Amino acid sequence: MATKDEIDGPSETARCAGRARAAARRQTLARLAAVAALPWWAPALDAVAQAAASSPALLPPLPPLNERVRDVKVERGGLSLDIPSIAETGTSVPIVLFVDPASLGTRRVARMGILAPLNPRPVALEIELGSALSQARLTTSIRLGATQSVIGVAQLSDGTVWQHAVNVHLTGSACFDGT
Amino acid sequence: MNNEPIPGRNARLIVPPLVQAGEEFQVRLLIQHPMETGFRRDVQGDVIAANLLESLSLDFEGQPVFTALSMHALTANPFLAFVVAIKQSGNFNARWRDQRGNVGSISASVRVVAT
Repeated sequence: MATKDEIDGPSETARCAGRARAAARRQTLARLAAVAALPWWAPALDAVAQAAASSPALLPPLPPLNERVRDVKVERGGLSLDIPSIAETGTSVPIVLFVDPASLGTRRVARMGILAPLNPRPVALEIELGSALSQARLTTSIRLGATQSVIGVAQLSDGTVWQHAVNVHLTGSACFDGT
Repeated sequence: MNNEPIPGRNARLIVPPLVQAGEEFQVRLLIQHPMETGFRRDVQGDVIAANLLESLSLDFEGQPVFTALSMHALTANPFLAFVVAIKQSGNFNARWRDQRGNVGSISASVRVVAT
């Protein structure tokens, strides 16, 4: 079972400053395994879906994504995460999250998210997918503060969570750079 | 120093002008925004205040394409691309607001042609 510290890491500033610690790097995989040990946090889902339907502009606050996936068993499902394994700089790392429609059946993908556990703010991105989409595909670029395992998360309409992690080596951090 | 982008001229929403009904195409959104994290310091050593996007959403004629719930690690000048399919002509509308309260929006129209 993961402790809070293993998933959230140290405080914001300490995390950026400590990015060079070799120990932290060696622990990256251990952390990932810890995240992997994570039951699904579900109770607020229906309430959120209903509230979203009635007023899309005023979503009720959800617990952060990293807390919601903390106790979820790691399952890759049909999720694929495309991110370079070596990045020149953490200021802009291209990333593509994709869920294979064949693996969905009658379900759809409700949310997609990206976790970067060693970033000052571990929840890199969380997006609610709308009905106009024809594919569960998200293409974007993110910032990374340290060499770490980047975790892609897809949450299906039935509450299932799929996640997949890819180790990304950085030669420069986004924490100290001008952009 | 004022290097803030000009409101209304600080984004691109790229869509194909003509599509067939039900055809999949990419909608690409690029917003010119510093996405200041609040972790940087200026030459005097003072912390540069955070200014990230707080809300961002894209819809097609009221039908949601996506709504961002959290965007802490989007890069400066955030870029997002999605694959959509539409049945009728209409407009894509993107709206966003940052932590300083600046709001922005952009729209792009797509026309559906007979196959």
